Amino acid sequence: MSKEYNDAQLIAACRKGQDWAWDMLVERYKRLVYSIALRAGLDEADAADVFQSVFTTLLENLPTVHAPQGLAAWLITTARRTSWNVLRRRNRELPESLVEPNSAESNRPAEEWLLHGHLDESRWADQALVREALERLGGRCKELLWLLYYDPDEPSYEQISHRLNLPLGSIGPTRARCLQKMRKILQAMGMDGA
Amino acid sequence: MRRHEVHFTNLIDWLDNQLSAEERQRIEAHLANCPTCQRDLAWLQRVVQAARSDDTVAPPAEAVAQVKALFRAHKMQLAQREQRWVRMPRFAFALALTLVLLISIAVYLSRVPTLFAREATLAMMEGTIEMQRSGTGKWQAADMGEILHEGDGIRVVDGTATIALFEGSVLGIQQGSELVFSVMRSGLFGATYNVVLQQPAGEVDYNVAPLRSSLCRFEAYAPTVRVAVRGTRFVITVQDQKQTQVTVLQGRVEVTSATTKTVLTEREVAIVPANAPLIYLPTLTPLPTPEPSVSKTPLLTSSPTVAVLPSPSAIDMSPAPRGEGSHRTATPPSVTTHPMPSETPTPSTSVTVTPTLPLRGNQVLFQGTIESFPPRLLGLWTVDGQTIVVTPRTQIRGTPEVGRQARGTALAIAAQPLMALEIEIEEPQLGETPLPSPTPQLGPHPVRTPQPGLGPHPVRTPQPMLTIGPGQWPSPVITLPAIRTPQPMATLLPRRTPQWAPTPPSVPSPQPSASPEATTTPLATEFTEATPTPLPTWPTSPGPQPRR
Repeated sequence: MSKEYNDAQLIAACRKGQDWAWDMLVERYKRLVYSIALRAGLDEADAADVFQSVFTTLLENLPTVHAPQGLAAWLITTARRTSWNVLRRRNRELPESLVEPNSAESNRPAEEWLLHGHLDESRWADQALVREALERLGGRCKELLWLLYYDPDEPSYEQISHRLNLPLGSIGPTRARCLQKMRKILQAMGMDGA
Repeated sequence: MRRHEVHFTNLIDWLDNQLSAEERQRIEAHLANCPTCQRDLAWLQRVVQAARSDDTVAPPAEAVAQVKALFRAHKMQLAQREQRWVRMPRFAFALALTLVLLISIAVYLSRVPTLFAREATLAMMEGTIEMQRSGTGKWQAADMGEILHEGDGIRVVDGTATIALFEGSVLGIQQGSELVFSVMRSGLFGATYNVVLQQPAGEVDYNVAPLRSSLCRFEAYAPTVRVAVRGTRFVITVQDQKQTQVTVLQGRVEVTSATTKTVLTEREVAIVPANAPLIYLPTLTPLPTPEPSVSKTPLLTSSPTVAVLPSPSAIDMSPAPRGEGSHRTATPPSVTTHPMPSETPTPSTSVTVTPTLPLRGNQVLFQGTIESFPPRLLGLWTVDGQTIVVTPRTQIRGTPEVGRQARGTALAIAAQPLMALEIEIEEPQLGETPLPSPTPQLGPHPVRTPQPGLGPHPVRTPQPMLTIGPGQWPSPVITLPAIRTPQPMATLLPRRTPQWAPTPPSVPSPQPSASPEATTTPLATEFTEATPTPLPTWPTSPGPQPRR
């Protein structure tokens, strides 16, 4: 298993020109940024533009980013702002009252999300880290935890036991061991509370 | 994870609602009292919630590849900017801090006037000069260019010496004088300095460079006085261990003695006794325009009509009670008194000299035949057997020649030769046989015997001019210092001569008197000129003019 790095360490390595650090950052937060643009109602092309724009902005501001501990929050804010600008360019009739929570326009899902989505920011940051930790786990743990927590079909223990050729009675203990491994990975990656 | 009665697996099952009711209650009861399990459960909830709510979508692979490629293109710039950002502030801060520190240190060191020992240089010399290195106690011959350090001493056995100090001051040390460089120090860059000199004997002309700041100090100590320089040029004459004369030629000096502290300004002259108040001598200030006074009386005579003080060797050397005024009489005193300026001039068979300028204080008139004078004019003249001291401050009109008639005014200071203020030399009339007077030459100068001060002159008898009243002069009788021949330091020092009334009196042509044949007996006090130096430019005599 490769070594885990937190956001501050990756930022520092990027400033020194380390390609692998930048790649790791992109992989960690690509879903986060892209999904924010999609949730804002942008199509895939615009979302891809937002994704590239946000990381380009990060690249340009790498030397002066003062909150490496809050990189996820910075990416979320930048993605929001960029998505909002794209939306305004696409929907020129969007009224200024959009910022008012009680305006009629705020009933539209995308705008509402952009207005109130900040409540989910911490979960979005956790999502990126947990998914990366899952990738780092690999092997049987990755498969098990994926089936237990990510599979949209939500298979049962019996199905999991059958799929993984794992005794039914060992799913629980195996899951526990895998989660404990993930906890260590998440601690190294800077997830607070881990 | 610590081993609890509730395992991590139990927490997972509790979270997934995989437990029986009894197990659930047991775990909940445990959770209520176990912070560790509470923390573990919170973490589990966070991770499980993040995993189960993750509906994020990955961007297209091309977009990801493009974003990754961006970094490759910019990473060189990033690395350089990172180094600048990391180094520049640190470097700039360190540089600024170092500069501030260096400047602070330099400013402090420049304001401490005693940090660095400095030197003086024997810039010019004539005759025999000796120096004493600090701590050696031995006097040795000094050469031109000798470097003198703090604590060294210098003395002029015969001749003169000119010392250049590190801060620009120039000292003229006369024959028979001694000087010790007690303190010669400066701060960084020489902005501040301390100079303390000790003059135990003789006469030194101090031409002090202007003080560079209030932190600078220049002081000269003589037996009875401390002179602190505020101005530029002054002369200290150590008359003896109990009396010192200070003459300020330019600027101001602070004079401190055991009983007095005062400031002497430009051209003031004072004698500083050991334990008595200062005695102010006539200043060197220009005299006002004289009243017109014409005298047709021949002035030439072989007998001086001016009262002079007895020559030094005839002075009673016995100390007189302090505070009592006493006549500075010779042994035996026998002088002809001169009519005081306030008195009506008494005609006599000898010539009556009417001063061209009103006399002041201790000024007297003199007149007679020039019997001898130094080749460079500065030093001891003999006029009708009377010793007259010509200094750089003396204004001479006419061409000095042995045998010519001269008259002038002089300062009479107790027990010292007259110090000439002005001398006017008669020019020979047309057709007259010039006096057989050789021009000044190097080497011993022909003079008329007897030597001055060796007894009363066969022609005239000097008598004290002044009446020394109580409290005027302190006792004891002053001992003359060694005869000095002040050298014109025209090449180093600016010469300042007071501006006297320019118009000389109109006098008839002089009648040559029978001059004794000159002998070649040199004066014991004469000096030999080693190398001729440029003479000062004396004002040329405008010729006989009507007296104003």
